[in-house]
Amino acid sequence: MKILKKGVLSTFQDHGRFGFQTIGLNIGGVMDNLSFRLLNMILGNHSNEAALEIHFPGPHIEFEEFCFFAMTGADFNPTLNQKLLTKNKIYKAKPGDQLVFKHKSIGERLYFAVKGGLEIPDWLNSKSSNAQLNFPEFSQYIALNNKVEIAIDCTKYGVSFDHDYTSKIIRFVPSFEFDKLDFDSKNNLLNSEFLISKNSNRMGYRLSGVPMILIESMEMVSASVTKGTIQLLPDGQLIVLMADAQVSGGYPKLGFVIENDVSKLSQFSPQSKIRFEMISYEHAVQIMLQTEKSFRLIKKSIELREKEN
Amino acid sequence: MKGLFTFSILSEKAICVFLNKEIGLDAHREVLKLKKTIESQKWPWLIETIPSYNSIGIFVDISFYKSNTSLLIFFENWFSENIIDVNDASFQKALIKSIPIKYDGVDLSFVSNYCKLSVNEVITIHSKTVYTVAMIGFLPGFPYLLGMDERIFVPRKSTPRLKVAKGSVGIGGFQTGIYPAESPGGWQIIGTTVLELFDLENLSYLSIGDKVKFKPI
Repeated sequence: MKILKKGVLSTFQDHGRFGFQTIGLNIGGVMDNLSFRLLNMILGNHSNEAALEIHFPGPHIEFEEFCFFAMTGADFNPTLNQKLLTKNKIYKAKPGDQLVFKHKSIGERLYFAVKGGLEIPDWLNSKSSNAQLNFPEFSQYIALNNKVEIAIDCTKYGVSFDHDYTSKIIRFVPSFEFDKLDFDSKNNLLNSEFLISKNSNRMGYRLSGVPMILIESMEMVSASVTKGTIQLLPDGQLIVLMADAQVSGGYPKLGFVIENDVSKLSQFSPQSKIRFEMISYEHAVQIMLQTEKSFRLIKKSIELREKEN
Repeated sequence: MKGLFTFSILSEKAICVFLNKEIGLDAHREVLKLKKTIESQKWPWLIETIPSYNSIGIFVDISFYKSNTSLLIFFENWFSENIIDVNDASFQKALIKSIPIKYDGVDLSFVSNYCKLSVNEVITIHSKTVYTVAMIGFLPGFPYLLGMDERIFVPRKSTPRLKVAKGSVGIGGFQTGIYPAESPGGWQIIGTTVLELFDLENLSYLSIGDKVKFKPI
C-alpha cells in the first residue's frame, strides 16, 4: 500500500498502550472505540488489529496488492477509482487501485483497515502512534499483512452500527467535585448548550459555555485522569479529555463522559453544540455491558454468515 | 479504615483513591505501599495502578464486572478490611541517583529575586536536597520531584513558554522536575542536564519512588 498524499493527522491506532502510565506514557489509542471495534469485526480481524485513523483531508492511497478493506466511523465520501464507496462494508482492491476521500459529510474520524492487518511496528504491545514521541511515524509505504483469500460482505446481512448523530446529548457521571459547583453552574451544566471549541484535538475537547464557579476553591494536586474525564479549567470552561489524555492532571474533575459517548463525541466537529445529561455510575456500567452484548451479537452473526458461505 | 480515604470514580474502568493526608513524603510512601499491596493481590482484571502525591489511580478491564457490580463498593470494602502497613523497610533503602546539572537556566535570576536569595544560595539549596520521584507524567519520563526546600518555592509562569529545551530543570510551585524532551512548559527554568531521561529502548531513566540528587557541574 502506497501513500501518495499524506493528508492531515492520519495515525495508526489500536486500543492503546496499557501498563506504562507510571513512566508517563499515555494510553492513546483510537478516539472512536466503537467504530474501531466494528471495523475489525467486519473484516474478521483480531479485535485489536491496528487501523488507520483518518481525519479530513485524508490520505490518497494506492494499493499495490490484492486485498480486502473496509471503513467505519466518519463518512468522507471515499472513492475507489472514482467509484463511491460506503462505510461498514468490505471491498476488494487490486494493484493500482486508488482510494481517495472526496469531501466530509459526517463525523471527524474515519477508520480504515485491511483484512489480515497492516504491517506496522509494535512497541510495548501496541501499534498506536504516540503523539508525544512521534512514534511510530506515518510512512509512505505500508506493507499489508495480507494472507487472506476470501472476505464476505457481512453488511449485506444487516450487520451495522452507528452513532446517533441526531442527538447532541452526551451522558456523564458526576464526581464528588461536581457538588462543589455553585447552584447556577450546576444548572448550566445540566441545561445549557456547549460549543465544541476549535482548539479540540486528540488530547481533549475544549467546550465553551457559561463559565462555571466553584463554591470553594480547590487545591490543585495532580492525580490520575483518563479518557472521558471532565476537567474544570481556571477560566471556568470545561475540557473533556480524549484518547491522547495525559496521565495525570491537577484541575478539578467534575465527572466523566461514559465510554460510548466518548466515542460519539469524537465524531463531533469543532463549532458543533452538545448538551450534557447526568446519569449514575451504575447506569453507565449497564450501558457498557449492554454495548458488549451487542458487539458479541454482531460478532456471532458475522461468524454465522461466514460459515454459511 | 473508612474516613482515611476518599473514593472517586474516574471512568467505568478506573477509580481514584485519595489519602486524606497532607502532601509530603509520608503520604507518598503510603501511596507506594498501597500500590505494592494492590498489585500483590493478583486480581486478573487489574491493568495498572498509577500513584500520585496523595492518591492512586486503579485501572481495571471489563472482566472486573464478571464477578463484581461496582468499583466503588469493591474498593470501599477492600480498603476497610485491609490495613496498610506503612512502615515497610523496603522503602527506606532506595539508591540515590545523581543527576548532573549546569545551573544556567534563564529564570535563575527571577527565582533568586523572588526568593530574596542570592543565585548561589538558590543553587546550594536546590542541589543539597535528596528528592523523591513522586510521579512521572506530563511527558514520557518527566519526573515530579518531591522534597524541595520551601525557601525556593516559586509559582509557575503565568503564561507557559511555547518551547522549553530538552534537559531543562525547572521549579513549579513546591516541586522540581526535568523536561526529557523539548515541549511547551510553564516551570521556571534554573538549569540543564545532559542526562537522557527517556528513550524508546530503555524507557524511563527514573521510576516512581526513586531518590534523586542534583550534582552541579
